[in-house]
Amino acid sequence: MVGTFPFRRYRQALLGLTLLLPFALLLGAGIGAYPIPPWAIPEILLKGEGVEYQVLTALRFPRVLGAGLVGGLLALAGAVLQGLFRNPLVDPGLIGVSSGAALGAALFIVLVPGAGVLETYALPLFAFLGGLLATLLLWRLAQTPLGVQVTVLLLAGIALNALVGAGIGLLTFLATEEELRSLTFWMLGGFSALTWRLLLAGLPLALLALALLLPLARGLNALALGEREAFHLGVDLERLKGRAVAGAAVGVGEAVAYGALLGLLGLVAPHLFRLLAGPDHRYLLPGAFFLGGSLAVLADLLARTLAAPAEIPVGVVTALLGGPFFLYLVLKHKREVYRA
Amino acid sequence: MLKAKNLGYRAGSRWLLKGVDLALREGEFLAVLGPNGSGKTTLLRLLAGELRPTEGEVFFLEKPLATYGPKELARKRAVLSQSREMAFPYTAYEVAFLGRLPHLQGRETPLDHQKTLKALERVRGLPLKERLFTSLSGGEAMRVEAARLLNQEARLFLLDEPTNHLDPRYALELLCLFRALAYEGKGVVAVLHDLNLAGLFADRVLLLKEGRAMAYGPPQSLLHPDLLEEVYGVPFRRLGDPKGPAFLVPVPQEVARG
Repeated sequence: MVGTFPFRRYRQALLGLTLLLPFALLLGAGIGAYPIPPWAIPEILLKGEGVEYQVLTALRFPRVLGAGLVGGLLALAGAVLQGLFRNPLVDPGLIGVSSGAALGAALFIVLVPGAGVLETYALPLFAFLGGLLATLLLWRLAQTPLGVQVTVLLLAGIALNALVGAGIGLLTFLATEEELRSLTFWMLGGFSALTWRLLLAGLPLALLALALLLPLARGLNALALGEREAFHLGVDLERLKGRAVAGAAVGVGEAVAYGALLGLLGLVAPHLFRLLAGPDHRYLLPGAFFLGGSLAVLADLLARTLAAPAEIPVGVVTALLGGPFFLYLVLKHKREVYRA
Repeated sequence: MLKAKNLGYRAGSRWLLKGVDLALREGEFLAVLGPNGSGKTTLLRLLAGELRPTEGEVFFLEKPLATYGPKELARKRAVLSQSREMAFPYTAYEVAFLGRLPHLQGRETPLDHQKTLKALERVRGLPLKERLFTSLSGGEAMRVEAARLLNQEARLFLLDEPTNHLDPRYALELLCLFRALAYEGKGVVAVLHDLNLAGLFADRVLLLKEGRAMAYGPPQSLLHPDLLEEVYGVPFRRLGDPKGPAFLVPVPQEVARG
C-alpha cells in the first residue's frame, strides 16, 4: 500500500466532515420556532407544498445555507492566510477585510441616513467594497522591489485595524440614536436578514473565492518550509500571495456582507482540522470549509434557539464557544513546548 | 551546465558580489569558500535564480537563467538553504514528498510516492517517515531535506552551508551523498565553511573575499597556507603527509609566530 499511510487520516477526516455538513444543515433547517423533524425534510421537499414546505424554503433554507457558506468561507480564508503567513494564529481579519467592511457599513449607516429599502442591498455592498478597498490598500503598502513583504502586510494590517477602530468610534459618536442602534445591531451580526435574493446575489463571489483559494493547496504546503524554499520548489510566490489575499478578501468580504463575522471561527476551524488529521493543505482547505460551514450552522442554531423567541447574536455564540477552545489550544501548546 | 559571467550584485550602494566568473560542468563538485560576509550566500542565491544580478549573467543548461519560470527551474535545480523552519506539524514523509511538487501535473501518482520512499531510503531516512519534521534532530532533519532534494530529480544541486550544526558523521554522510550524485553526472555547488571538507570532496574551489573571487581552481593548488592567510587574515598550517590529503589548520597569530 505505497503512499496510503500518510493520507489515511486525512481522507477519514475529510469524509467525516463532508458528512457532517449536510447533517448540520438538516438539523439547522429542522429545529426552530416551528419544529420540523430533520429526517422528514427530504419527504416534505419532494411533496412541495404545505406550511412546513413554506417554512423550510422561505425561512430556514436561505438562512442555514447562508450560515454554512459564511462559516465555510471564513474558515477557508483563515486556513489559506495561516498558510500564507506561516503562522497558525492568523485570523482572516488581519488583512484588513473585516475592519474595512465594518467601516464601509458604518459609513453607510451614518452618512446615508434613512436609506430604507436601499439598505438591504446597499449595506452589504458597502461592507464588501470597504473590505476590498482596505485589503487593496494594505497590499499596496506591502509592495517592495523584492515582492510583497508578508511581515509588512501583517504589521500594516494591525495599524489599519486600529485606525478603522478609531473611525468607527468617531462615527458612533456622530450617530443619532437610531443610527446607533442599527450600527450596533449590524456589528453584532446575524443571519436573520438572509434572503434567497441576497444569497444568490453573492453566490458568484463565493464561487470566485473558492476558485481562487482551493487550488493554492500545494503551493501553501511548500510555503510551510519558507518563502525561499517554496520558490526553490517551483512556486510562483507573487502569484500565490496575490491569489491568497484576493480570494480571502472576497470570501471574508462576502461573509461580512451576508451579515456576520463569526468571531474566532476562521481561526479555530483550521486548527481543529489540523488536530484531527494534519497540516496538508490539500485536505485542510476543503476540510476547513466543511468544518467551518457546519460549525456556523450549529452556532446559528444555538443563537436562535437558546433564548427563543429572542435571538442571541451569532457572533457572540461563536466567540463564547471559540474563545475557551482557543485558550485550551494555547494551554496545550504551552504544555507541549514548555512542559509546564 | 552552469556558467556565470562577471556576476555582480549590489544592495544599496554596497557591492555584495562583483566580477565573479565560474563554470561548472556535469559531474563536478564546486565548493565556495570564504570568510563570513564574503558573498558566498549571495552568489548561491544568484545561481538559484532567487536574486537578479545587478550586472553580468548566469547561464544554466545553455539558457539565460532569467528566462526560466519558477516551476521549470525547480525541475532542474534543487536548493538546500540554511533555514530549517517548519511552520506546521508536517511529517518527515510529507516534507520529502514536497520534492515532487515541480513534477506534479494534476493528481499525484503512486510513482511519486514510490520515488519519495526511494529517496528516503537512499538517505537512510525511512524509519523517520512518520515522525514530525519539527521533532527531528539536526542530523535527521538534514537527511529528510536531502531526500526532498533527491526527490526533485534535479540536474544541479545548490547547497548553502549544508554541514552547519551537523556532527562529523552526518556531515560526511551528507557530503558523500552529494559527491556520489556528482559522480552520477549531476552538478553540485556547495558553500562550505570547512576547508578540509572542501579539500576532500570538491573538484574545484572558489575562494571569495569581500565579494571578489580571490582564486578559482582545483583544491590541491588553492588550499595552501599563504593564500588562505591572505583571504581569512589568520595564519594557517598544513598537516598530513604529501601524498595523502592535506589538512589545513588555522593557528592563532601568537602561537604561529612563536
